[in-house]
Amino acid sequence: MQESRKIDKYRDDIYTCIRSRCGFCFSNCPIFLTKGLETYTSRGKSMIIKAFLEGKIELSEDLAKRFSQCTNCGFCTTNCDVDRPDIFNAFKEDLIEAGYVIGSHERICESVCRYGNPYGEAKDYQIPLKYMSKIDDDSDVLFYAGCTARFRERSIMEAMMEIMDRFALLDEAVCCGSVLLRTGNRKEAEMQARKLKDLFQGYRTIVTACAGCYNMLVEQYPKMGIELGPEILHSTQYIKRLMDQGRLHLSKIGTGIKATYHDPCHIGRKDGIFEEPRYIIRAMGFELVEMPRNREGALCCGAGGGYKSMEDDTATGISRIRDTEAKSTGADILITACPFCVRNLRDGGQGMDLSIVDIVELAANAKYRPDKV
Amino acid sequence: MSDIFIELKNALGEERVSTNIIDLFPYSRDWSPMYHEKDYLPEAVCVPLCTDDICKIMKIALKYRKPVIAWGGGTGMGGDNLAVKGGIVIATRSMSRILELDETNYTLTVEAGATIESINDFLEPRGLWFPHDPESKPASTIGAAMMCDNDGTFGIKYGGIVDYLLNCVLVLSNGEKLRVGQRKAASTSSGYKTMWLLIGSEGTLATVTEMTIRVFPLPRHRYVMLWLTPTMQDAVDALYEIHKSGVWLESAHVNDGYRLDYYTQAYREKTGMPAKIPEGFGSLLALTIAGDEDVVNFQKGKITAIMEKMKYSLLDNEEIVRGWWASKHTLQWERNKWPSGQKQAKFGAADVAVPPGRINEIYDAYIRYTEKYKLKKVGAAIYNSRPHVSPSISFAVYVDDHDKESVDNFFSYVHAMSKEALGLEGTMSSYIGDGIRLRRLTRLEHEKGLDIMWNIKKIFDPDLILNPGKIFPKEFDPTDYEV
Repeated sequence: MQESRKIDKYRDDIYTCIRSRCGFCFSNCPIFLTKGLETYTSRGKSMIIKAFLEGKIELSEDLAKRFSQCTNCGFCTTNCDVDRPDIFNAFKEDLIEAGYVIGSHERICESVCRYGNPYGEAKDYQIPLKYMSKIDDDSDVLFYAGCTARFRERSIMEAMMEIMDRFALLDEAVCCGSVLLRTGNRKEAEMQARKLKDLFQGYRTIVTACAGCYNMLVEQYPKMGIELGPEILHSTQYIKRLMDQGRLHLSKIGTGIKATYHDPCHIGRKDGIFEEPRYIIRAMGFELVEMPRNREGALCCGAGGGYKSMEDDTATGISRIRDTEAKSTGADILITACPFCVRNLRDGGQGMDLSIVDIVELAANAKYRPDKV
Repeated sequence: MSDIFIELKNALGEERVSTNIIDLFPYSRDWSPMYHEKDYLPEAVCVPLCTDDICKIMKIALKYRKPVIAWGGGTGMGGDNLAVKGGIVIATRSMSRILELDETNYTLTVEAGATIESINDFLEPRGLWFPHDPESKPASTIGAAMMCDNDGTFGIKYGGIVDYLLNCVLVLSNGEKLRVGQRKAASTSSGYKTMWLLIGSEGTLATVTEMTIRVFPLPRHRYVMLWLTPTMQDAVDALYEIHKSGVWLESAHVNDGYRLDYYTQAYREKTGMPAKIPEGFGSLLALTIAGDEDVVNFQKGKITAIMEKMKYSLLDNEEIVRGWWASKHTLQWERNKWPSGQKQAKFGAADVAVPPGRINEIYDAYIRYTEKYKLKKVGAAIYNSRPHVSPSISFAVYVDDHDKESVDNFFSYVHAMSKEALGLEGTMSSYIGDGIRLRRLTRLEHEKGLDIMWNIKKIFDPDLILNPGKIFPKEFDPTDYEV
C-alpha cells in the first residue's frame, strides 16, 4: 500500500495549500454551506491529507465518508492553481484500495460494470417509434445521451432526438464512467473510457445531453491518456451550431416569461460553456435574469460526484438553496442544461412555485415545424 | 466521550459538534509560518447557527473550564486563533446572515461569520459597499476583522474597523449576551468605549456574534496610478504633499524595490519584455482616487502636477497596473497568486508600524535582519490603515516551513524587527496582532499598561477560558507555546 499510494503524487500540492491557506476555495462549497465544518472544504481536506502524510491519522471509514462528501463541483479550483477534485479523487482511490468503500458508490460501480449504467437498469430504453426513423447508422453524428437522460430523464433524451435530424445511436448503453472517476473508481472509469473510445470510432461528432458526460469526454479522458477522435459537443453547443447554420429555427415561446439559468458545474465552471445556453434562452424570447452566483461562481445543484446517492437529504437541501436563489430573481422558470441538475433541482424545488426544465426540452418545444404552421 | 461533549451535542445537535480528529485537523493551523509538522488540535469543533447557540456553548465550556476559541476565516498570521491549550473551537462561518440593511442611515447589521466579500456581494447591486477590504476578504470574516483589528486597502480614506463599527452583540464567558456600542450613531462621547476595547482583543474578552457597521455609496469611477520614487521615505513624504493640496486619496500603498521587482517580474514572464523602470527609482507609490469622473480627473491632474514637480516618474504600463491592483483589490489574477507564489516557501511578515518620518530607519533594519537571519526578501509594503498618512508596514520574507531553523530564524527576525520598531517610537504590530508570536514582547510594548489589560481580561473572563495563551506573556501564563 505504502509503495503505490496515489496521494503521494500530490504531496507538493498539499503543502502548497498549507502554505497559501487563502481559504478562497470554500465560499461557495455546497457541502460546507450546509454542514459548516471546514472538513468538507478543499483547504480542510488538504489539512486532513497533510495529517495523513505525516502519519498522524490512518485511512479509515470515517475518512472515506468525509472525502466522499463532495459534489466534485470544482468551485474550489476556481481561484486556485491546483485541480483540487483530482487530488481528492486520488485519495479516494487509496481509501478504496485499503478497503474503505462507500456502500452506495460500490453499488453504482457494480451496476456500471454489470449493466453499463449506474441505475442498475438491465433493460435498455425503448426508443419511441417516431424517432426510430431518424436513427441512421451511416450518420457521422452520434447522439450519446448519457445514463441519466437515457434511464431517468427520458424527456430530455427524446427532446434532443426531436431537435436532431439524423443521428446514430449506440446499440447498448455504455456509461462514460464519470461517476466512477469521481467516486475514486478510476480503473473501472478507464475501462468505460476504453469501451467508448472503440464505439466512437468512425464518427465525426459526438453530441451529449449530459454535462457530466461532456466533461468526462473532453477533459477527463485526455487526462487518462485516452484521446477520442471525434469532436465532442454538448447539446447546447450543437443546438447553437444548428441555429447558426440555419438548420434550426426556434420560435419565441418565452415571450413575456422571466427565466433564470443554472450553470451546470461540469460544462460551465469546468469547461467554459456559459454563453451558448444563454444565447438559446434569449433566442426563445425569454427575459433572462441572472442569479447573483452565476457562471464560474455558480452554486452547485448538490447532486454530483455520487453525492446524491450517498446523502440525498443534504443534496436536496443544497438544491433547495439554489432553487431559492432562482426564485429570488423573480423568474418563473429555472432552466439548466444537465439531466442530473434537473433531477436534483426538481427534488429541491418541490412545493415551490417554480418550473425547472432542461434547455433541450424547451428548444424541442420551440423548434419551428412547418407542418404545424 | 466525556460529559462536556455529550452536553454540547445535546445542546446543539449531533451534527453540529464533532470530536472526531479528522474534523479537528482543519482547525489546527492558521496562516502563520509554522514548521510543517506543527499543529494545535482543539478537542472539539462546534457549528453554531445563532447567538443563542454560542451562549449555550459558553455556559457548558465554563462549567467544565474548557478553553473556547472563536474561528473565522482561519487566515490569521499570528497564531491568534490556535487552540494552544486544546478546548472548543467555535466555527463561526455558519453564522453569516445579513440581518438588516438600513439604506436611510447607511448601516448594515450582519452576523459575525459573514465574509467581507459576501457582505460586498450583497451591497454592490444596491450601489453600496463596505470599504474595509483586506486581500483575504473571500475568507476573512467581519467578526475577525473586529477581533484582530486588521488593516485594509482603503484605510487612508475610510479608516480601520473602529471607524465602521457602530454596535455589536457580545457573548461573555458566562454565556450572557449583550449589545454594546452607540446604536446607529456614528460617534458618541458617552461612557467608556467598551466596544472599542474589544477591537483587537483576539477573542480573549468575549465572542462577537452580530455587528452593525457603516456602509458607503459605491464610487462610480476609480483611477489607479503607479508612481516611481527613489525611496519609500520619498513616497511617504510625497503623500503629505498630495494631502496638502486637498486631494482625497482613496488608497495609498508604497512598495520597495523588491516588491517592484516582483510585479515587473510577473510582467516580464508574461510578455517576455522588460518593464521600463528609469534609473534611480527603487520604490513604488500606488494611488487610487475614486468618485465622479470629473472629480477623479481633476484629482488625477493635481497629483500628476505634484509628482512631476518632485521629478517622480509615472509607471504607466497597463499590464503592471492591472496586476498590481489585482493583488490589492480585484483579486482577478490570471491564476491565484498565493499558491503560485508559495510552492516552495511560506510567506511571512513582520508587521511593524513606525512614525511617518522614520521609514528609512526601519527599512535599514529590514535589510540588516533579513541578512542576519538568512531570510529571502519578498519586499516591503506600506499600507495606510487610518485616515491621512498612517503607515503600517508588511516587511515580508520567505520561510522554508520544512526547515526548523528557517522557521526559528523567522520568529527571531520578527522579534528583532518588533524591538527595532519600538525603539523608533513605533509599534510591533500594525495588522496581525500579538497572538502567540509576540506574547513574549507585549510587556515591552505596553509596559505597565499590560497589568491594566490583564485586570480587564479578568473582569471579562475571570476563569480565563477565552482564547488562552494569547497576548499575555509567561508572567501571566507560564506555559511556553512554540509557534
